[in-house]
Amino acid sequence: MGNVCCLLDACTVINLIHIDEDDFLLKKIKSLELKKSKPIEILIDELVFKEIQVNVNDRLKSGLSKFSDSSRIGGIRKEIDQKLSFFRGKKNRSAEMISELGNEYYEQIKNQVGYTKKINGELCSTAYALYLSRLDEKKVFFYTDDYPAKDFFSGYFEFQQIGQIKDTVDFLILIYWLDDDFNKSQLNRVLSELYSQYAIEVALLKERLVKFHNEKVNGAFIKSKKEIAFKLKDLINKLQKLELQNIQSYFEYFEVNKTKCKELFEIIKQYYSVFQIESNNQSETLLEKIKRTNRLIEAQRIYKWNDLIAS
Amino acid sequence: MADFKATYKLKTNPFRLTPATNPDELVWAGFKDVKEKFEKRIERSIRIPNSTLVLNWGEYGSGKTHAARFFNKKDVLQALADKAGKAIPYSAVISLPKGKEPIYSIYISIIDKLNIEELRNTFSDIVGDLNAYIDSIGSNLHIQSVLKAVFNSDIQHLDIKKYLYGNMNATELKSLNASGILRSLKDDTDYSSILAGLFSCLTYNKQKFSCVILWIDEFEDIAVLNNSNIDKTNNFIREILDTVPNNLLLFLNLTQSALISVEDLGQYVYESVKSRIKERISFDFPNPDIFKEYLRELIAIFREGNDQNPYFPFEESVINSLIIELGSVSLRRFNESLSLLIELSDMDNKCPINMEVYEEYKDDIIWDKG
Repeated sequence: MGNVCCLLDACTVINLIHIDEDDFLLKKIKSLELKKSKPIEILIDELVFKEIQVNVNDRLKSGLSKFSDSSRIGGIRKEIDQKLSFFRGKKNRSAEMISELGNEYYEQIKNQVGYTKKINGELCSTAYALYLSRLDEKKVFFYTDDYPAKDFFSGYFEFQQIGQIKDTVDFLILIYWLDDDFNKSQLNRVLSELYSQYAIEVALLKERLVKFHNEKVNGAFIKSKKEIAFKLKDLINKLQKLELQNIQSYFEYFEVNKTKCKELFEIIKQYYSVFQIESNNQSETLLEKIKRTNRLIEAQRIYKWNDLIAS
Repeated sequence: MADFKATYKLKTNPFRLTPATNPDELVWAGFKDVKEKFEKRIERSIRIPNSTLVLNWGEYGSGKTHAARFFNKKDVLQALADKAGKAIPYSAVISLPKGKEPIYSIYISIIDKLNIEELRNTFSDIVGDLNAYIDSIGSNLHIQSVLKAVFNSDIQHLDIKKYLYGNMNATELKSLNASGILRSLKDDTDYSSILAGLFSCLTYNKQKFSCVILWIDEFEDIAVLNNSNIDKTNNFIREILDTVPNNLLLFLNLTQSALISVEDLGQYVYESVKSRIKERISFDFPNPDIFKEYLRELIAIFREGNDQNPYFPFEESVINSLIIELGSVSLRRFNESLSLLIELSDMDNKCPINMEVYEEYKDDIIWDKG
């Protein structure tokens, strides 16, 4: 096992696939895995990999104007498939865990953490992380950009001393300082690409919601669904101002009320990643973190081994 | 519901938020200063050979997109051209692309709007002069051949459109070899060069079109692009202004937002572009007098018959109360509330819309106070 055990969530892998140009990141990860000193080991839970397969192409179909030329989507899809095969080999040990601990292991962890949602990638990864930490007597880092899940499971990681829950920004910085040839402008570029991935989703969601509002929210709509109309206006306003705190509650509201306005929930569902980028009112969103990190990198050096011995 | 026109003395609901499909309903009311600024700027470009970049700046819902659509109307442009005694401008409105290839997307948006058959008819009497002019612009023989082919009626117009879209295979491309087109268009430099050349041709001697007006709406979305695409977008604007030194009027509609504020504008719009901005047209929130003037003019345009009350079907007290209730908000917010108020009144057969009606629907039309 590597020095740093990196367990990746679906959103992190999907982000890595979409921000990577010319397999730059994949090559970096691969070379670190092959290094004699084994600085990292990348692992993915089985169910998480299935979630990746289901959702990895969502960003290609969600845009109004993002991928305007459909003939080019085929090429992008092919590239994604190639990158996906790189991560396919990482889902290597959770089957082994189930054979040792049995299928009820997930239920056991679910009850212990008090998770009310159905068993999903984040819960399975938490269970897997606990198993790996005990089996290999190591700290495990679980990388996810699902901030509400991060918030929920962090306490459990701490109490059980499994390790930590981090996000894609942290993962990119880890790869950066481990790799001597990964320079600051390249780090800046991948962070800017990560920012763009989420900011575009926010912009596209806003575009779709404004269109829906302008076309559908009229007097008749207000008479029958006033609360939905006002909630929609609120959400558009929040996206406009980029006030993403508590945004998850809007997803939950439209999900609960989906029978009243199915069309609206269908739009919102397509942009689920937007509702994952904040955890609570007090902490920063993923977008804020990327901006802050970019500023910090300019002001303060992140040391690599060679920087340390040179200084 | 009673007959809308007869009851409310309006042709249709003037406050609809969806863009009007009928150009007659796309009107300008009030905001004389802003309108004059646009008219002057466009008229200037119609008269004088000069390329200009103008930044339209304002908050969400303040009317920038509406201005683009209004001044993109043929009759509006024709009137300005007639006033100057020159040809009509060639105008297009596009949104800033958010995709992976912004320059390619801008190029495609413009090609989408290009009616080659119509252009060839328009330029048929000066095509000889135009070819000589094309030879004089730039040194790229390939781009010159493509531009000549656009105006050459011997080549099927669908073939050249197919070529411009990049959809021709190697065998089909051979049919264009005789016209000097030996390869496909392949990168941003090609796309920028074609657009620059095309704009120059369209405005040759200001004969057929006096200038090209290009509106890039939602320019604030530059803040969601990655660093490399921010670079490409800035470079494209700089290049297109430099390579079309005459007769291009470029409007950038920029909404002040959380992603892009005045302070960090420089992060997204580089000095090389900023230094080329000749004018900033600001879309401010209307004060009560400006809003009421807008309202009177808008209602007058949509008026069916006559009424002594310029705000009819609204009583003036309703308008005053709404202004106080909403506070300082965008024009869009006023329009939203008035649109709902008139629709709800219509559904319940209530007319005129007095304070009693307003109070009844107040909670339905004001979703949060400004």
